[in-house]
Amino acid sequence: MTTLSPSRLRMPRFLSSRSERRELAAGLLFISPALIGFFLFTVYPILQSLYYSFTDYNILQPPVWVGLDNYVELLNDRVFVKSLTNTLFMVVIGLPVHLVFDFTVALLLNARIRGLPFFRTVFYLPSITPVVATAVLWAWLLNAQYGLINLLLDSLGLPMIGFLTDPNWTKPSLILMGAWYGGNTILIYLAALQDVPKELLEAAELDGANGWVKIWRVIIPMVSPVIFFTLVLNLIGYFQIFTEGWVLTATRSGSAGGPLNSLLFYAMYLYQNAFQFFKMGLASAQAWVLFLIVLSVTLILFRTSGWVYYRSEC
Amino acid sequence: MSNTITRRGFLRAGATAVLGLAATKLAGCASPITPTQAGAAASATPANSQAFLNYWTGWSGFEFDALQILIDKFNQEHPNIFVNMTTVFGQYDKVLTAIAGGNPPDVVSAVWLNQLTAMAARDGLTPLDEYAARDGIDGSEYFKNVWDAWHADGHLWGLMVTVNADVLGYRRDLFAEVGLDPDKPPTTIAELDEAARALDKIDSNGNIERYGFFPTSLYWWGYVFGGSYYDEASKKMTLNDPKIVAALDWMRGYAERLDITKVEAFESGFGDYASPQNAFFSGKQAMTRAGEWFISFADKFSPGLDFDFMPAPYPAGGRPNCTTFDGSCFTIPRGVAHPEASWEFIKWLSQPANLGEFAYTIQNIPPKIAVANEERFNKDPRFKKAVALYTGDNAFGPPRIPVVDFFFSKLGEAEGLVKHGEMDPEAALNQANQEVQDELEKALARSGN
Repeated sequence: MTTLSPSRLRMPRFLSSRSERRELAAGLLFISPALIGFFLFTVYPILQSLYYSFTDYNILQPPVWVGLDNYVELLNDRVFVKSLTNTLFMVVIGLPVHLVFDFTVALLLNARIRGLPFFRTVFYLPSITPVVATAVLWAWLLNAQYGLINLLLDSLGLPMIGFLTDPNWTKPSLILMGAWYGGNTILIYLAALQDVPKELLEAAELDGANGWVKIWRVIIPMVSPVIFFTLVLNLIGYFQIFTEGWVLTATRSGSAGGPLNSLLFYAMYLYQNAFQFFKMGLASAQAWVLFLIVLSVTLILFRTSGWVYYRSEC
Repeated sequence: MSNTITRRGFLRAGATAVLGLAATKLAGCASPITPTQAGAAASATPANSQAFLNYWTGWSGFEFDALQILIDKFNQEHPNIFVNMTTVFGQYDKVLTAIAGGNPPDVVSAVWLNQLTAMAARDGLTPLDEYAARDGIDGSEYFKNVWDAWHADGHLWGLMVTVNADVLGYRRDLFAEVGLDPDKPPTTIAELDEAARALDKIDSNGNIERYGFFPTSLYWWGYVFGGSYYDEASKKMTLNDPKIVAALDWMRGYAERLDITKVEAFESGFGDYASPQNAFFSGKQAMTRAGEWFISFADKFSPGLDFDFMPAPYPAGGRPNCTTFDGSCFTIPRGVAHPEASWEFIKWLSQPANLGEFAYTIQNIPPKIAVANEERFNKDPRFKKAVALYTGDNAFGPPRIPVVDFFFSKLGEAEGLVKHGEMDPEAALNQANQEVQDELEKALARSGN
């Protein structure tokens, strides 16, 4: 070795030998299908959509640069605001309800009772049915005139409710339906609950803690990382809610949104703009706004995650 | 050297395989699908010099089968062209992305008139003027309304094989049941309102068991009341035309009288539209918006049903015998590989014998005058009524604007807002009009008009 080129100098030491570089090349080659796929089908479209969001683009004709016009238009779009508030309703109300329900069920399924495997199966079962099938099923259960739930209400002498036809009830009905999809979250909670150290619970018991106190002071802190994990994942899922709303409200003419657009969610309006109204540029801007919203909410969650207790810290 | 595989050799072989695979995959995306790949359904085996046409249709079920018979015939008569038909639902997104991806289907049909204008305005379609002029297709064989409807920006964008026109269907048996004369259906709005009320059936809890009529589609009723939505000369939307406002106000009357929440609760219990549980077949509606296709529909799902058609009753100052029509256009997307062959297929299908055969099988109106006058289309007086409506003076196709889907969406939204009592008709239509106008101006500026 006599001279070193500048590029050689910057190269990390482990790559200095010929065989190591060959190893690297081979390694890259092996993961190249994944890398190529990632760059071609994920990174490139994402960047392209960022570019489109600053253009007037209708898919058929070449995009024309319009600067921030699409973003300004969104702010002034009544329907956009409506779709955003509909979605926020689901995030702010649906998400906590969903998580509390799932956690409660997981606690119950963690109890030592007879027939536990049966109950666990029952609660997980709905998760394996496709969302579309579940939505259609619930559309009939919640039917305003012939639905089983309304027949029950009627037989109890209560007024029947237009679960999916009354604009004030549509979103709460969807949250109710959401209880069905909880299987996966319940399963995650269940795994975490079984991981709570028994000695801690025993110690708490010896100190005279009742069930309630054990849940609040021992169990919840111990599973808080998992709660946090499901919170973040479901938050993102709720922001992107699409299928249920679409299946329940899409009409034969192709429009969707339900009574007074009360089930028009963000992703549904995005789809309409992109593929029905030829406004791909606007739809791209909409996608980026959603990304920024989800990103900032997630960051806030991480910043305020002091309540999450990681066992490794102690 | 021996035959043992060295590590380097193995890697090299692996890399070649991966790259080769990627290359074939990419090539497979870009090149037109070859006949063998498509697994063509028809019997004929395509030769190498053939133009292979991918034809995307909106038809399925028995309608698809009827068309496939014709396509088989075409393939036999044209050894140098092979048409492969595929049902593609939700065509909008798929066709758009296919065109954008540079690999469009060669022919697309069941493009509705609104899609036709919207796609033509955005350079998505091949104009057909030259082909039509060359082959002597000048519109003289077609009903004028429909021939005009295929034009936008002065070009011909498609040929239609079947037409559908709106009529009001009514149950003669239910009319008789409540003492109305089934031979004299209402002709004015006042008579319609009266008949509708007489046919309503409400149970002791105030739930609807049957309604005589509940008007939908402001689009149609706006025309019936004498309004129009667009002024082509000034390029101005006129959704807030006082006559359209009046139509919406009339619709609001129904929503208030029957209570919109009760109506929606009732309607949510309607069975599948294309089934014997269709609300009209099962007697939950005594009158409904229908079309000439409804006859074969009823034959299939509710044989022997005693029903008839009437033109939309109209108010003073409104339009008698008013209908809105649409139909399935056959179009050639921009950038197809064999435009001549695509045109040949459309032209062949538009020949009176073929078009008539298909329209008759699926009981749609044929757009050609001579065909529509054939005996077989005139046996059923109901069908005749529908044909008379759409060939009359008060038949309207969708407004020829590039933002027609947006227009329909906003019109529907206004209808919903008013029926739910959220806005009064004038305010709702003013709002919708402004929004559509803004959108129209943007689209027109984009296309350089």
